[in-house]
Order: sequence, then structure tokens, then C-alpha cells
Amino acid sequence: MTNLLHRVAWLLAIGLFGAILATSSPASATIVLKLDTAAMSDTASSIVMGRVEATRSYWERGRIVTEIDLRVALPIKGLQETGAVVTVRQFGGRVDELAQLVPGTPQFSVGEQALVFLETVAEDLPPVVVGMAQGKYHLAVGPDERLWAVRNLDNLSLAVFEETASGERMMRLIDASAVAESNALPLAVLLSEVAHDLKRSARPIPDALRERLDADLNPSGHDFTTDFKALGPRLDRAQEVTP
Amino acid sequence: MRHPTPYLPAAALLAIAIAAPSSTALAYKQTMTCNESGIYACEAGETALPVYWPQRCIVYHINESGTSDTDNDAAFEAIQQSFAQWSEPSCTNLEVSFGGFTNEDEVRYNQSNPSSNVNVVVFRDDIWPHSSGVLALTSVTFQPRTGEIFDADIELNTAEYRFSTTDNRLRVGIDVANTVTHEAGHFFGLDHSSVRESTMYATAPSGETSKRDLHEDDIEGICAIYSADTSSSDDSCAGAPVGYFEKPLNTSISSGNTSSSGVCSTTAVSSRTPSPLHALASIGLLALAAITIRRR
Repeated sequence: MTNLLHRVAWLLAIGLFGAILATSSPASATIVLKLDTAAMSDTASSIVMGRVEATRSYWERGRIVTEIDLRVALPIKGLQETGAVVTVRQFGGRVDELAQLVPGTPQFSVGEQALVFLETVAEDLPPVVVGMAQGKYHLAVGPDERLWAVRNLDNLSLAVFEETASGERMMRLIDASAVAESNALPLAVLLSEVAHDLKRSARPIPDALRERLDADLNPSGHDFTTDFKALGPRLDRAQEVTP
Repeated sequence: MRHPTPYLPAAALLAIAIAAPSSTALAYKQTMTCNESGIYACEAGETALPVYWPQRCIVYHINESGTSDTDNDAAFEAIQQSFAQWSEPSCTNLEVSFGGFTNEDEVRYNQSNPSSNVNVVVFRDDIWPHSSGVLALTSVTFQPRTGEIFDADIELNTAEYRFSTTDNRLRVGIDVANTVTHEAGHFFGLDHSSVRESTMYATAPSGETSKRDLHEDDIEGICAIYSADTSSSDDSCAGAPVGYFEKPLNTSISSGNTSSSGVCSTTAVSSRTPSPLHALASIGLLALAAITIRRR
């Protein structure tokens, strides 16, 4: 009975957390191609997990640019080493009495733990996050006391391209709720997906990542991904009744 | 051995989620000045306010280079029709004026010479300066304490994607009018709507062009921000300049921090509007706490 209560409470917490995240955060939308983990891994020149140590916004030729410093705790792809500081760049931010909103850019707060997929868009500039907010996961302790990776895509319209019967390539927009189950998942699951993608593309898996996977990947044998899939319809209903 | 408080992490997650800003009770939504956290976090004493243009006549320009994706005349016409949609409802006094073409191709805001700024729609045929995969992007410059918009620009990623203006649904790649009408809604301060048929809804059926026209919900939203019943210091586009906008020769724009500094009060103000889901989450939080206590 106690175990049942325990499990129900977890599911309730996970469901509410996902539903609330999917319906929070007022912001505008940027239309961006939907990227799955494999596509982000392929696009990324580097993937790192670390702590946000500082953010700073400044004017650059009429635009507000924000730079985010991450202290690398786990280098996953690229040349960064543990302990190094990686600077991420993005447009938008606030400087005193002016703000520039660039919808769809990921949000960073000093002190938070994050996993980011980074790509270089200009050789002489710091990298940007792949697929805007899609490529940044906030890390938090989850109901199972492990680390979970959570992202917020509320301000994005995700585009997918599909082939019609006549062979035309068509674009379709979906919103973040359509990918709810990939917006909160155990970090170990995300890391194992990335490791699989690195292996598929014949890239080396860093020892630190391999050790992390061995230590963390689902020690209880419980499949929380399945729980999320089971909660899918419930999440949908919760969103529909939310004004 | 079990952790003595197995539900506290879940409770913490709920608390984090509850602390996030919530949606409003309306179908349409307005873009807000700040959030609870992150780079747009509200500063002490600030309340999240909707962003809006303080004047009723809003002039925009189109970068003269156009795009090689489609016939430029058709693309320019599509952009103008997209903007015009938003000022047509009789319940709004918003006036939108096409100010002409410009060689300005940068998204920027010049604080030292505000009159040199131009709200521009630009196709990026050569280099897309943002994350790959982004199709269209609107940048809005505003005063975070009042919500007043000073400048807004729309970029279309024709470097990586093909845009078109055709009415033939089977040939539609990314429809210029559909995309710009949606982005123009953000340009004027609207956020996503929960009404599926609206222009400001985030989801669209395959190959759709229906967002070229406004839905009742979009009209309700634009009229809520720019109601015909309210007056403003500048209510008419009658005297608005129309013509080629030459990018100023001296394009040097201040870098580094802005000179002005705000005065912050010490009162933290929550911008959150409670919603039924948040109330449900609060109940869940309490339930988890109760279970935790009982297990002890």
C-alpha cells in the first residue's frame, strides 16, 4: 500500500511538473526546425554539462548580446576539458533600461546546472545553443532522487518537413506539448541517447561519460520513460483544460 | 535504505514549476516584459507588464534586397498584406504604414539617435546569424519597466529554407504571408494564443496558408492592446513619411553598457497569475508533503 502511494505520488509529481512547465512562461515564438537528440548531437560541435557561473549582457552594434559562462563538469563532445569554462553567446537580453527580446533563446540563471548542445555559427565568436531552446536542458533532482534533464520550449514553434503523396516537401508546425515526453527525462537516459549517437557517427565516447553512464544509468531498473509515455494523454488533458 | 524524505525532491520540482510564470485566462496572450528568472528576470520592484507600441502609427520598412527564393514583387506584396491585416479590424485604432524600402539590413537599435532606427523586415539569403534551423525570428526592443516598444525587426531565413508566395497548397514551401502575419503579431506585442484556428496559435496544418488572415481571437487580442476607444499622442499615420530609407552613413552605434541606470525599489512583486493548474499543483504539493510526514 505504501509502495502504491509512493508510486502514485511520483507519477503525480512528474505529471504535474511536465504539465505546468508546458503551460508556463509567457513569451513569443520563434519558428525553428524540430531537432531530436540525434540531430542535435550531429549538429553540435560540442556538448557539455556544467554549472552556469556567470551571465553578462552588453551592446554590440545595436544589438544586446548575452554571454553565458559554463564551468564544464562533464565534457561529452568536443575539445573542452573538465573544469574549463565554455562561453555561450546569444542575441537578446537586458542592459539597464532597455531589453531586446529574441523569442526562443534559452534561459540561463547563475548557479543552475545545465547540459547544452553547442554549434559554431561564426569562427571568431563563441558558440550558440543548437536549435535555440531545444539544445539546452536544465538539470534538477527528480522524484527518483536522480538528475533529470528538463527543457522549456514554450516560446518555440517547432517545424517539421513532410513529404506529401505527390512528393512535395511540406512544412508543418507543432507546439512544445507535442514533444512533452522529451522535455523532461532522466539525465542518464539523455546521456545514453547522446552516447548512442556518438557511437553511431563513429565519434569517441569520453571516458568520463562512459563512467557516468555505468554509474548512473537506471540502477533501479525502473523505466521512467515508460511512465512519461503513460502520462502522455493525462498531460494532454491537463493542457486542454488550462485556460 | 530509503531516503528519509523521498518526496521532497518531487515537492521541490513542483515548487520550481509553480514559481514559473503562468498563462493568463484569455485565449490570446501578450508578450510580457520579464520573467521570474533567467536573462529576462524581473528586477526588484518590477512587475511583468505587456509590451506594446506607445504610438498608434507604426511604420515598417522592407529591405530592398528581397530574396532569390521567389518573385520579389510578390514577396513584398505578401509582407505588406500581412502587416495590413493587423490594422483592419474596426475595434482597433492601430495604424500600420509601409514606409518604403531601405538598404538597412541590420537588426539593431541605436540609442543615441533613435530617429535613425527603422523597423525592418529582411530576408537573409546569404548568412543566417542565429542557430541553424530557425526559420523566422522577431527581435523586439523595449523599455522593461514600462513595456513600451521602441523597435522591432523580422528576419526570414532564406539562407537555409525556401520561401514562397504561391497560392497552390501543393507547392507551398514556407509561405511568406503566413509566416510574416504570424511574426507581425509578435511585432505588435502578441504572444501565442490557445485558439487553434487563430493566426497566433503555434500549430498549423501541413502546407497551410490560413494564417494569412486574422481569426476572431487575433482580432480580440490586437483590439485589447490597441483599442479604438483609447486615444494616444499620435493617432494617425497621415503625416508618416513614406519613401526610401537610406541607412545612415555613420553607422557607429554605442557599444558597451547603456548610460542610463534605473532606480530599483526593494519590493519584490510577483507577476504570476494563478491558474487552475497551478492551484492543482499546489494541492499536489500539499498532498506530497502530507504523505512525507505520514511516512515519517
